[in-house]
Amino acid sequence: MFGRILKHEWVVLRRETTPWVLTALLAALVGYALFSAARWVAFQESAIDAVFEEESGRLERLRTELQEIEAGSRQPSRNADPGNPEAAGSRLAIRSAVHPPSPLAVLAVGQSDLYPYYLKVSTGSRETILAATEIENPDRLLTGRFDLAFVIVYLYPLFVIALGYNLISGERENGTFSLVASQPVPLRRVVAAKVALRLLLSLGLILALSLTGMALAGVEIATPDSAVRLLLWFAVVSAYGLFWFALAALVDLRSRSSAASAVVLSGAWLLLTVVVPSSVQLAVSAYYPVPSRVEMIQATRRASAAAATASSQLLARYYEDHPELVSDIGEADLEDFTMLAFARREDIERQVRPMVDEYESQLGRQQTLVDRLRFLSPAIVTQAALEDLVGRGHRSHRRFLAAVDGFHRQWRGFFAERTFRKERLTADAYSGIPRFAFAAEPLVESAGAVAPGLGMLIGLAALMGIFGLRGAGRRPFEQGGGEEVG
Amino acid sequence: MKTIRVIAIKEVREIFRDGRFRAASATVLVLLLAAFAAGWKHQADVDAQHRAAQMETREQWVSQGEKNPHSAAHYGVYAFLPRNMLSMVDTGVYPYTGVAVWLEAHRQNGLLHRPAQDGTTIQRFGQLTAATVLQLLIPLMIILLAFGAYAGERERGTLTQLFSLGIDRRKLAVGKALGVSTALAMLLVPAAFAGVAALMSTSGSGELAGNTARILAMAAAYLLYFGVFVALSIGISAWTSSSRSALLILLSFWIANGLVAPRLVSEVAATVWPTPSSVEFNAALDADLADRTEMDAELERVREELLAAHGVSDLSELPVNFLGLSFQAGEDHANAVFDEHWNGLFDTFERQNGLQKKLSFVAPVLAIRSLSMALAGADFSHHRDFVDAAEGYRRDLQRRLNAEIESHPVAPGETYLADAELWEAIPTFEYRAPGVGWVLRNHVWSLVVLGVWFGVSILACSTAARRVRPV
Amino acid sequence: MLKAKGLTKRYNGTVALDSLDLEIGPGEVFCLLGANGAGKTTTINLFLNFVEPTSGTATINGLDVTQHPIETKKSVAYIPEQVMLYRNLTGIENLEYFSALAGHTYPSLALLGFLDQAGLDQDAAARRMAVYSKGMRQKVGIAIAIAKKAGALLLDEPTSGLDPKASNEFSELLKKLSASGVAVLMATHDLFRAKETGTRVGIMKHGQLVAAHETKDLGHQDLERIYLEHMRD
Repeated sequence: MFGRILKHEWVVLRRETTPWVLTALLAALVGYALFSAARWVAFQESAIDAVFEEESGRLERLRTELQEIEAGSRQPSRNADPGNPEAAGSRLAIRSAVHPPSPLAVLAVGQSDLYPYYLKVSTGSRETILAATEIENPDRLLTGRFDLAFVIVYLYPLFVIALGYNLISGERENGTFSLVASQPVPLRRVVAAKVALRLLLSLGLILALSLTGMALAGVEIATPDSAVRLLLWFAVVSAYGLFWFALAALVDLRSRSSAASAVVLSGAWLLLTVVVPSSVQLAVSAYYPVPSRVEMIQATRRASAAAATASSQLLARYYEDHPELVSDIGEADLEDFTMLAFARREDIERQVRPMVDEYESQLGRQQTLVDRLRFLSPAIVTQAALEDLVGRGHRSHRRFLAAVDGFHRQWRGFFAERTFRKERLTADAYSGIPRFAFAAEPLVESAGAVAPGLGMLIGLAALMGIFGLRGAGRRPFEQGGGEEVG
Repeated sequence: MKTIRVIAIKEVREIFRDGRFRAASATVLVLLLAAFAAGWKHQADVDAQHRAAQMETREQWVSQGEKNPHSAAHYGVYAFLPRNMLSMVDTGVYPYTGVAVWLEAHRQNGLLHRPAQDGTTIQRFGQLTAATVLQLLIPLMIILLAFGAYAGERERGTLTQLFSLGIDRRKLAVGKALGVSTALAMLLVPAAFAGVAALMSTSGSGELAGNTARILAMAAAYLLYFGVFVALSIGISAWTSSSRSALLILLSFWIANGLVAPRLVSEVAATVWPTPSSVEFNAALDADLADRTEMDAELERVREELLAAHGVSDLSELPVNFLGLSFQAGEDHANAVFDEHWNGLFDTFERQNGLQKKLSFVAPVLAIRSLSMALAGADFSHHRDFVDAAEGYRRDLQRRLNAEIESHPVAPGETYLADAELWEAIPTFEYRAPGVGWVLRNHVWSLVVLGVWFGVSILACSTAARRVRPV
Repeated sequence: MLKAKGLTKRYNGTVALDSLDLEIGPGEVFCLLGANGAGKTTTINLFLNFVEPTSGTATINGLDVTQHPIETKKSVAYIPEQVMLYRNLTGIENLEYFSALAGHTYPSLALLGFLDQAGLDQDAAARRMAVYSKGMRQKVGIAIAIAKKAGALLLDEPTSGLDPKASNEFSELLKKLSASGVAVLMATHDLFRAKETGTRVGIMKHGQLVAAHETKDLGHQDLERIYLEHMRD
């Protein structure tokens, strides 16, 4: 029976114009989204290549220069001596920490246009390192990218609404409803078949379009990790589609006319995708205001001024913090400028630290609140899940920053040790300079992060489905148009 | 006139008796007021912080103690981006531009710390601002109020009644438009009063008075934008055969306008005028900065001339400090490079934005968006104006400091130290945003587009209203 | 077959149907007459479980329609006043779909046979509904009812909009069906047709069945006289 209804609905749908127009529109949108995201990925990759190319060329030149100095065929330059660990670690030999786009990055630009994806790590202050940004037109950052995640989070629900706002009210308005209702078939079965067909069609369409687009963009699903991520990605999209179809059916079964359900559904769409997320954002930043970065700039400046006036105590304090470096240091070294530079940097950081901590804990509180409030809107949940699965969201960026933090400490340790030991860097030591390697989030963790949202979408859809269909079985004329009441 | 009034009153009465309208307008009003309140609070905080920081950076500059002017040049000052009070209505690109720029020797820096970068997972959904409500929510409300204006009456059969009375069709259309506008005004007028009150309490009346022209222009632009939607909604309602198709057409337009067009046009603009990557940009900039052969030759020529003019053989015997000249030559060389690269980059952005502005005839939201941001002092042009002013200040600062070095020759091995007297002699950095005339000149096209949209929708509405069939 | 007992429907205080008692056995054709709003359609809607009775019961084959909404619908076919069908499907496709919903799978020859019985020619059966006239749609509706092979038939002014010839054919068909043991409840305005096809006629007024007669007891003038008498207040 279910199959017969499906087949009938398919014939009806196929012979209408609207589904074809919608399909063509969706195809164009998905295609363009993938095309523009692929361009962005290519842009990022070429920028990263340029970073690496510049870096290896520079380090190679420094090493050659050092070999020449060691061989005695060249005099070291006074302020750009590659053998001086302070100069090398703070300027000459610096390396970039890179957050490369994941294999599935074309699926979502996410926040990757806003967050830096390579940071130049030196012995300099953490804040300076993290303040780097990619160049972008602020207008474009404000508008946001036209990526597949955007098409799915914002436009796919509209597609669903267009297919589902008149599931039953359409039959009512066309007059076919009374004949259907007089048949020995529970109405919920008819509705379920209608929803199932549309869900399958729209998901099949997105799946086919995405896979074609990805193939054209040259994305390869080389590892099981990527394959599972892709599956999860489509699971999230399916659950999101299911949610909207369930809502459309629920609303349409209870509304007087198809126009009324279109009004209610578009209102719900606006509420869930625009109003709730932006209000959550508003509430979060009003509830946990982040101290202004302006304060931080000023605090850093005050700390630098203070550090400049207290050089010798600073060094003594530095040794307290780093006893491992004390061993073979003589008194005279206290005046050593390069050592002082390390001590001063750490002192400034120590002074600014409370503010940085306050800053980060406030951001942490904001995120915790967002994590709680995200369940208010399936759009938030879906957006985050779609970004997290392909490593283009806030989560992956936090991970990158944490890794950069660790790398920065390692970097500093490497050069501080040689500075304080008064050890010149040798050409061989250059190959031992720390390198950054970004480990993407393990699949299990990503899946764990996505699971609650996925569960929520499916749960909500099921709830609405049960609630909506339960009401559907009963007398549909009663709450409905009241037509044919004589 | 009487007919129109009677019709308008009937429309308003009907709208107000509709519980859905009351619920929707209450929601919109709450959102608008919340957005205002949050914008007002944020604006007040940020403004206070930036003023305080600007004073502190001056204080630090003045009290930096005895120093060689070039050390002071390296110490530099910060310029903090002031925010126009109207950004509580429209924050524009503020979250995406950074808040401060370090003005130091040798280098033109970009603005630091984009507030959006310190966000949460939902950063990109944007924060609710009054502009969001005005650009997206109010048009939707207008559509919901007006889609049934004709089609609904036709379906209920009241349209035949009306036409059998021999009513003037134009008057009917005007009356309906007036009815919708009145209902809308009952929502917007209190909100506008609340907004102006908030503006008055944030700042001195002087700042408010200075922004009156901007406020009025903004109000006029939004009214024009709403007018487009009122006329279009009533026109479509008259033109279509059923209220359902009127609604679907209007909703499609609303989605294409508010949601798809901005992102699509932004992508197109960036495809036509690609933005360089920062690696690429900095590599090109650094390469040009490092190419100092011309500058060295010029400096060498000046040195020879000076030595010859004063009949001495060593720089230390000159009555001027050659180091000052050499620093300034370095600055001049770098400034030319910065001009070329930064202006090139900013020109790219302006071209992207300009293309968006040009394409705004496809969707009125593009016009109102850029106009609203600009009037709120929060668009890229204002940002660039600030950057240029700060950079101008930096160059002037460097020139003064280098001139100071130049005029204080020292014996070999000695350094000239300047004190607070010099620091105080350097003027404070003060930035004044350009006036409303500048904004409007920049946005003639947006104004024209809004005007054309308005005119065309009125025309379409009156044509449809004249041809409307009662059954 | 079709049975109403104390069947009552009130909408917000107004009485649409007031304790109707009615029993229609196999082979009977009961015609309900009455002005607009007298309660004819409400009666049919109650038998279809489209609306919930305020009190009383409607049973089909001894099953309460509110308790057994699906089972009872298996044994009753329905033709609305306006048969509306899927515009983009052909006559035969519409028939096939509704038969499927009713639980029947017919070969296309059988489907054509039903349409033929209902008086629709083969050429028309293959065309889409969008080009059908009201009368042609009505015939597809009749075919759907025949194909359902139900024991009871609910007709809500089925001949309105049919030309006299088609109307006549329908009456013949109805007689054939009732002869085969189908119980028919038909709401109609057409006194002549009611007398012609009905075995019994009932007159409704303000939700009440005010009179019921065997048609064989009545002459043509009698029915019209009784009807007009009841319509006077």
